[in-house]
Amino acid sequence: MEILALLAHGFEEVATWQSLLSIILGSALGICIGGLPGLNASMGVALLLPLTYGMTALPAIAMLLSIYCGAIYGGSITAILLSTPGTTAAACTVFDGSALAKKGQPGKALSMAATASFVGGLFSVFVLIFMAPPLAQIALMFSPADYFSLIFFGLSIVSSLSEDHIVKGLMSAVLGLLISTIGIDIISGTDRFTFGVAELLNGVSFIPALIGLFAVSQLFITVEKKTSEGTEGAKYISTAIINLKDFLSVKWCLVRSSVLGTLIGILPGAGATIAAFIAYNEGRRWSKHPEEFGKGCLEGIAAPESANNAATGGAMVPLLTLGIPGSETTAVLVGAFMIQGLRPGPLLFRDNPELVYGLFAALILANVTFYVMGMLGARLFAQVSKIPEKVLIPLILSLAIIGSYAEHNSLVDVVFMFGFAVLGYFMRKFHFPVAPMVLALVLGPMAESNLGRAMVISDNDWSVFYTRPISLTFMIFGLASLLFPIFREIRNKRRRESIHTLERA
Amino acid sequence: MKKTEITGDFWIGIGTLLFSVIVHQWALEFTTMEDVSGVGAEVFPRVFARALMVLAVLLAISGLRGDPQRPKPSFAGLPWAALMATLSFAFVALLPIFGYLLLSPVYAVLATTIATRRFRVRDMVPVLAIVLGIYIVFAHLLKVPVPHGIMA
Repeated sequence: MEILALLAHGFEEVATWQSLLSIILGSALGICIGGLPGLNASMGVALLLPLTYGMTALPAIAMLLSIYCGAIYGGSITAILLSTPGTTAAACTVFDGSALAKKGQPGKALSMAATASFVGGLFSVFVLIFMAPPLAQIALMFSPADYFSLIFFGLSIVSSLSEDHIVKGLMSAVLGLLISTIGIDIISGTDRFTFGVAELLNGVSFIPALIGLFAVSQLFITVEKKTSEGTEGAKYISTAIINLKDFLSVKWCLVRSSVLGTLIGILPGAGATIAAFIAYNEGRRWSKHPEEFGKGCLEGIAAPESANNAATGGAMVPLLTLGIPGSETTAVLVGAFMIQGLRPGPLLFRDNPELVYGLFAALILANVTFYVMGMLGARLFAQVSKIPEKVLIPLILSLAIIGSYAEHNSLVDVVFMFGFAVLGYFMRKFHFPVAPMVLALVLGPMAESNLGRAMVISDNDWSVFYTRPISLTFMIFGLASLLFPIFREIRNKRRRESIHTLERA
Repeated sequence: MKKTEITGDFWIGIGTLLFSVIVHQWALEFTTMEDVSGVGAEVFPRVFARALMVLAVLLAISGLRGDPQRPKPSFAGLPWAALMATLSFAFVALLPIFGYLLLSPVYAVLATTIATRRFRVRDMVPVLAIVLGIYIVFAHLLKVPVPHGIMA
């Protein structure tokens, strides 16, 4: 009850013109930044931090939090409309969002993404408000071995991402893992596969890989045939949004993904991307129609979008309760706090409770704001699907080039982007799925660094992965997730062969 | 006796096998620090290379069996895709010299010409507007640095 009273007071604190305008402006800017490939939430918060110098603490941090929440949602817009995720957290949304848009229902896809993001974000804010301190203690229990097992679980979904041809999917993932080893080894400092090129010492950035593999490779396939004068096939594009029936059809998926996203977001370093992939995999596993995933089903959009926005609230748990930034974006937020003369951590609750609960109220309002903007904008954004290909092609290329260049101000990243586009072109031609490679590029470095740390801490004792309960649990889930689709594919293949034999007989 | 049809997957499998052997041998040159952690710099690349070898062999075997239901890839449009790729790499090579603002409109116009197979002035107006708009948003509104080349 005391928490509710404090929260009510927090709403009073945030109900000023300056704070409300900050939240609205922050949400709008966040959506725009998240929607631009190559700019992610942390970059957006860092770029717009100077805007807050003249503000007092609550509106300043409320604006940055709104940018954070809006950017994570905004990545889904280009993921759905242009098959180019605006942020890595929206990479999973491409599979079903883009497919549904190509079926002529971009409005439904966009509104589903907005709704799922809102539900996930709101859920995690309430968890943050009511359960932050005990959850923070759980986060502290995770050791590098547990992180490695969690990442292994995240990587294990490659089997389900490649059910058409599992060997090709696994090859795509392993090749991605190999590419992720390029650069300096974080434990030993040895440079690997760099060919003496200085720009490769930091490894291959996954944003150019993401853009090249998803968007530009598809573009290379599109130009094989002469593009049409109007929209693709001139088919009807519906701007209808989801209705209550659609929402109810994904309700359990939303609940499950919100919980997963919040819990994974709490873990420092885990982040929205891994939350989205794991939620997508679990959404597919628990779905009544798993065969529809990847073909434009609403659950395939709801799962990753609710998880990635749920991770935003989760990431605030270690930041506010322990002063530990859980992600790149929250690391920038620590800077924002310090600019305002504040230090996030347990003392913030004691010394500035009205600010803390004001921020909780601001987070709730930020989620509501981007949801309203997203739903109002869904029909408008859906018009992008009507843009002729001859206009879309330069749009995608321009965004791809600047998006790849923006991260490190390096032309090498643009070269990589086109290189991955060529690789992605041939992968698509020979039916190799590109999603496992992207997943491996994102998670590979995290897996290796946590494995190395786990070995250092345990003094090279490998039993740490099965003696620690958390690690053992994720290892079992990961093995099941990896092997189950393989066994299912073998069983289905034998059934098809026996049916074929019977027919011939 | 059933005729064995060698598909593209077989050759991809063989090529990947050779590639993974080369990577594996290369990885042996990396320094190991087993006294600090049991996972030296060479461990992950070698593990992945070995996994790739196994998968490559499986792919080659499945490529020998063939899959009548899977359509063969068509490369009829490869020259156009190759032209687009060549244009893209040429763009990147020239970008440090001419800068984004000068070169990107040329690149976008040529890319659109390749896609539509013809050059019409009225088609290029929205193309140029988009390219310029994106430049203004990134370079001037968001202050994201772009290569300036001779305009610097």
